[in-house]
Parts: sequence; C-alpha cells; structure tokens
Amino acid sequence: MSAMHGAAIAFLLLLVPCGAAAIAGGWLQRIVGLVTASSLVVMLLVVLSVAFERTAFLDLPLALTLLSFGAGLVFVRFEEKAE
Amino acid sequence: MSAVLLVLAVAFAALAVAGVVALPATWQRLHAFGLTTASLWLVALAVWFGPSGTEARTKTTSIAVVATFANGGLAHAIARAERLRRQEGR
Repeated sequence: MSAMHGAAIAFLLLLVPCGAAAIAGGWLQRIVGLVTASSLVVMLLVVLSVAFERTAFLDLPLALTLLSFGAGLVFVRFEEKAE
Repeated sequence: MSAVLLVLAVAFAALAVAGVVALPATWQRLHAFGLTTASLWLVALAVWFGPSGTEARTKTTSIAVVATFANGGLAHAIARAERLRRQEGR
C-alpha cells in the first residue's frame, strides 16, 4: 500500500465527523460541514486518481470543485432568506 | 518527499475537520474550513514531487487554484449570510 492509498483511507475516515456536523447542529454548522466534506471528497478523488494512475479521472474532482461551489452558494442563499 | 507532504496534508485536513466540528464561533469554523485549502495545496505539491506525469501535475494544480477561489467565495458568502441573519435578529 503506497502513501497515496493511506492518504485516501485517511481522507475517507475524516468524512465521518463532517457528516455528523452536516446532520446535527445549527444551519451554519451544517453548511460548513457540507462544504468541508466537499473539499475532502475533492482531495480523496485526486489522491485516488493518482494512486491508481488514472489521470484522466482528475477531471472529476475539478468538476466537483466547481459544482460544490455553486451548490454551497445556493444553500447559503436559501438559508439567508429563510425565516 | 511526496509521502511527507501527504502526511502533512492529512494532518491539515484532520485539523480542519476538528475545528469545523468543535470550535464554537462562526469565524473560527470558517478559518478551520480554510485549512482544507492548505491541505489541497499540499496534495498538489505531493503530486508534483511524486512520480506522476505532466498531466496529473497540471490538473492537480488547476484543481488547487479553482478550489482556493471557490472555498474563499463560500467562506465569504457564509460569513455574510450569518451577519445578515444576526442583524435581523433571527
């Protein structure tokens, strides 16, 4: 198992507390948990693509970065206007 | 070198997650979230110093650049929304 595989497992385990933060707590904690989890998934996909030598798959984390940015903005806008 | 950078990246990510989960104030959580950007740059550096080819290096650097702006924009939007709601007393 290379260092990349180990890092991938570590990033995967770090998703658990982020999920807990995104489920419980106030609206702010949930959104911050969500965007942190998105960043972790981006790193996880990068590390997995490099570890398995499938560099074509690196387009996936790039797309996820852009899409999670838009999704986060939508969530924040929705919460900003919610009563 | 690459392995050391990866360990650093995981450590930064763990710090970020611990901060997001445990810190009490909004600005503290957002600063902890910013650590994920540093972690992503460390992953990009690990790829640069690793055995990967040019395609992997340029793509991971692009991802790090885009994520830097995206995370900064998200943190700004979250802080602004929280401030607005606090001003309105909600």
